Amino acid sequence: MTTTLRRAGLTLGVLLMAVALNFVIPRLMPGSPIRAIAGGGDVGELTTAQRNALLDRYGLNDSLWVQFRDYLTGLVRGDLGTSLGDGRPVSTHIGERIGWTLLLVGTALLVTTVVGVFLATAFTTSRRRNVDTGGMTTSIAFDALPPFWVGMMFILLFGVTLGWLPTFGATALVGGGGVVDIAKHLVLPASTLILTGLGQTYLVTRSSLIAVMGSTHIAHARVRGIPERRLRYGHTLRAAALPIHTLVLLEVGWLISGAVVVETVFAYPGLGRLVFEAVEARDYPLLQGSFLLLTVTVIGANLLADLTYPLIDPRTRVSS
Amino acid sequence: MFVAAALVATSCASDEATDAPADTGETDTEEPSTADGTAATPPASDPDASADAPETGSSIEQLTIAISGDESTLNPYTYVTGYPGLNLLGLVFDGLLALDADNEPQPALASDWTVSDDNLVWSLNLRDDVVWHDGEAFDADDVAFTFDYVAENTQSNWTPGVAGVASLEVTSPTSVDITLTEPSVDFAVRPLASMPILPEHVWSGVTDPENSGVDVSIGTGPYSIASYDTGQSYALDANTDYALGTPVADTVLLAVIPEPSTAFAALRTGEVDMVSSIVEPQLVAEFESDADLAVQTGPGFGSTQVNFNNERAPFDDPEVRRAIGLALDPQELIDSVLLGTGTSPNPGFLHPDGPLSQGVVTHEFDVDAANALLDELGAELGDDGVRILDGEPMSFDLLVYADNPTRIRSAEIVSEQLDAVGISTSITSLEPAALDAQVWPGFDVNEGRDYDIAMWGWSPSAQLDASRYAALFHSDPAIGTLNVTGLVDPDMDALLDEMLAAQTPEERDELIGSIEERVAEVRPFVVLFYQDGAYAYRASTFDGWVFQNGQGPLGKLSLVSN
Amino acid sequence: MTMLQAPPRTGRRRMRRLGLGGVGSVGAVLLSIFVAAAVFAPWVAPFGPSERSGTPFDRPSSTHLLGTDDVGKDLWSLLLHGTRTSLVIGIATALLAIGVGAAVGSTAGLVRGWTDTLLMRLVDIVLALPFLPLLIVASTFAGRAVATQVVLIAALTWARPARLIRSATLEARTRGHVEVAEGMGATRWRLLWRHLSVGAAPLLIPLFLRAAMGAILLEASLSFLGLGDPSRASWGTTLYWANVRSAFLTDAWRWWVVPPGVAISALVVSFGLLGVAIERRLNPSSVER
Repeated sequence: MTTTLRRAGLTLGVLLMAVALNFVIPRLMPGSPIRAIAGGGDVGELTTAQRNALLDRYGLNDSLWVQFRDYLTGLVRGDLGTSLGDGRPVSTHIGERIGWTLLLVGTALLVTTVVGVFLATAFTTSRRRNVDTGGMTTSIAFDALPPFWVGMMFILLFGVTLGWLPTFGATALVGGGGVVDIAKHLVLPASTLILTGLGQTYLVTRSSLIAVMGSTHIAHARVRGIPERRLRYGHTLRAAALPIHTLVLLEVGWLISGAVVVETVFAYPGLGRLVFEAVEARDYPLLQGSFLLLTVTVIGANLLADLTYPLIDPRTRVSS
Repeated sequence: MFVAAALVATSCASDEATDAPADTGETDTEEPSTADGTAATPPASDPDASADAPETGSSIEQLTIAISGDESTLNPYTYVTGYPGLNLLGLVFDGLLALDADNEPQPALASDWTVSDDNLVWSLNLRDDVVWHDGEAFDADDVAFTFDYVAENTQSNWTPGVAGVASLEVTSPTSVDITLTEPSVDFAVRPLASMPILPEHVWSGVTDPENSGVDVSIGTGPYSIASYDTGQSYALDANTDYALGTPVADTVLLAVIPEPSTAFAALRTGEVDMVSSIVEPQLVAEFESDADLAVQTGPGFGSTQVNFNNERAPFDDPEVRRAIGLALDPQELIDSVLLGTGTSPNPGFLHPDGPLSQGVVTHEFDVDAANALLDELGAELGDDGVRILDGEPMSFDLLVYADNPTRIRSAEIVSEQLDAVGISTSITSLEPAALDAQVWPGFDVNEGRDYDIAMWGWSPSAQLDASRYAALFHSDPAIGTLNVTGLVDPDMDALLDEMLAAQTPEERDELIGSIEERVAEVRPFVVLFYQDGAYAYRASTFDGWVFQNGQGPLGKLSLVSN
Repeated sequence: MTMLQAPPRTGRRRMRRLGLGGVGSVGAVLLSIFVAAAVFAPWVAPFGPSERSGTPFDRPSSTHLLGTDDVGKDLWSLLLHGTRTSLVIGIATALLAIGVGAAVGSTAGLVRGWTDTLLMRLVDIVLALPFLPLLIVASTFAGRAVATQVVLIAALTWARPARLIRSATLEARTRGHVEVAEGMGATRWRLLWRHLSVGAAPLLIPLFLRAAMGAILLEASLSFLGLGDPSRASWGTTLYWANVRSAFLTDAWRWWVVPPGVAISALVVSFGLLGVAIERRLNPSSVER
């Protein structure tokens, strides 16, 4: 009970810290958001009075404390503020784009996990040592591929040269939105994340399998005559499941960062790319909002890992 | 689970795309999927498209254009960029006059106009057959309203343009008299040919123009906004009642593709029919060899220049600035960075093919003269090859936008050229907001500046009218709103004041000539080149693009046939 | 540890005596090629890193083995000079990250108490922040110099090693080294030093290599996004220019886009393979079946 409380308190603390950092860091960046606010072309046309009027409307001339206070009160109400660029609520911007990032990251996570764990189990527990070494070295090779370069190569091969798949966006411009269309546009970006993330999953699974493989539990099971397949995918895997599960959920953080690059290369309209654009425009509310959401997602994943820990841990289950 | 949630979220997101007002025959963004859900390219397979010639009046079903950024709700208060935003604005809105391919004002909503003898009263006759996108008739009240609205809601790009208007009188539903406080030769260009006219019956209720929605983006232009999917696309429907011509396409689809390379890849595959970004010089040959594609080139009015901080030593001495100018070789830049697709610079700033330039000065490149001048100024060569002037080594930071490849490459070559005369520069790439904060803090020349040398450039609009030309050099911050070099030159100020008060175009042109000479003499900045515009499109879909000098083919001139 | 494993064959035994094994040897050889390239680049490369030696967009020729980039710089020379950038940034960042991580982790593990809690909360916060977006934001005001990038990347990658080293410290504690030394009157700092040099070494070297791998990839990604110094000769920057100049819409991708990507992957792989081999030596139970 106290551990849960402590964990909750910790999470809250981390969240608060992230919120504070979130507020401070964009304002450390040099440059004024005036270009974003003024829109309409020639910024130089505005007089000083006009400029101040604009900044006043967004509270950007207030002292930092006042701005922070407003930011926090808004946050508590669930209001992430309005984008300086187009005046629409930040939550709307995020709402439009988070789905795509979740789709991309979710798909990549799913495929990476399933394929990575399966392959790792198959190869690591194989009788033949070469298979294991081969699998390990291949994973290291995949892990070494830079995601943006893989993306570029995919566009070149499957988009430009072969023309099989679309090279940009999440949907076609005309008649888009259907499941098949979305899937087609998802293939290349997701494959990029999957290919570059597979290595990590494989290697982590491998090391936790190794830790388990030599244990007495498995040895006894083998002596008892349990068939090899069930041994591999049943007992061994289940025993190794704990750290795999933890790291998979931590992968979310890595994948979200990777998504920024992939979304850029493929012009995929997700949250990662939004952060990049908001930085360019010095759109503080938008930057804060999207940044916060990314952080919350990662924190959420950590929390989920901690909370579902006891559910998967075979030891706790056995004891209860 | 993640994936399922995401799928639900995304389908919700695509439903939320804003639609245009009901009266224009609203179309849903979610059109029925094509049979196989591919990124459809109907124009390519459309029988009309391949046989299309704009003059015959048969139109293309759909034209897809890639633009590099979202333009918000695409009305005069919300559009985002000078290019292509302003061009696209011209598809939805009309002005009283319009600029033709040579940037000369022509009739548009106003069918003709006269100027009084004292050059103070402009009398315009308006067309009587123009209808707004929502069906209401256009009349003189809309014109009067627009002038008032823009004067009151000062965040507009056109507010300075109407500042010289003393009064506007509606003499009949189809005519207005505009009285100016002072004669302005520019008036036909700015604001008459540039300012979009707003519908009174819609905009009289708009109290927050910068956050106005797409439902008020109602104009008289050849296309109306049927739908707007934020950050993704716009669907523009042809205005079948357009009085000033015939739209060439039934629908113009604007696709937001931030990365130019992605946009060009999409052009190659046929997913888009035209890309608004300038084609990289090395791709021009590549595209031209493709049977389906074509490239149109013409003069571009955006300048690339080297700005000096005229308030900081040693750049406060015009001789030093002149010496540096002599050391720079624009041709090398044009050849290496632009692969020849550029126009040699006019040291007086104005583009030789632009409407204002008098062509009185040319750039001088002479390394020996540069060295000689520097020697004369007492800048001795140190042991490390760097000159020392007044006890300070001539070693400076050269700022450049980190996201502008052409500028960065130019900076590298400029640095080399300056090395050759003993001036050392270290290239500092900053991202745009950071650089702006040093060269043009707050976008307000009153706030001073903090830099040595910076790579800079002005957009095409700076070439089009006299008041913007004056804004570059005048030391009075109220007039010299674009004077980021901090130049203070009383002789220049006097010339500029005279030019702005000129009564006739001839008088103005003569003064512009003198100003160009003066600019070349005091050299607050050194213009390096004007990059030519090269625009790529699918000729097999539509081949009627008209290149407007300095603007390129994207705009009313191409997408409307007369 | 493993009870039912067959005894290793003689060939492997011999290789093991050599120290590295097949996989490790490959990694070591590869890495030494890169190190040699980095060290000897100024002499081996036909042209300097900022030298515009040819016409832009040249195809590969005998003078320019990989052709030229958009302003006429030799791509083969850029590839060689870029090795230096990647190695320097990768190694410097890894050293810094591991240094800080080891200091924090072992202090937390040794001292315990509220210092431990405080430090670990700090680690949690750093781990919770999405690192690439943060890097993007941070580089806008911190600048693009090599040193700045090294510090920034290290500032975000020290946390995970810190946590791992803390666990290792705690484990070593319970194993008794620390208690024995404490019993003999050693001071806390001596314990720290001793622990680091003996107990944590098997962990530090693989962690260092992994950190270097991550740093090289991060620097490449940042440069590709245009957040690096565009005039610097680095593989990521070369790919940035390839992308912005639309090199991959022409044939040029073959000699402009492929080699730097392969180089990045190969360098990171070499670190990885070496890491495997070293872990086999120092910590066989974690790598061997």
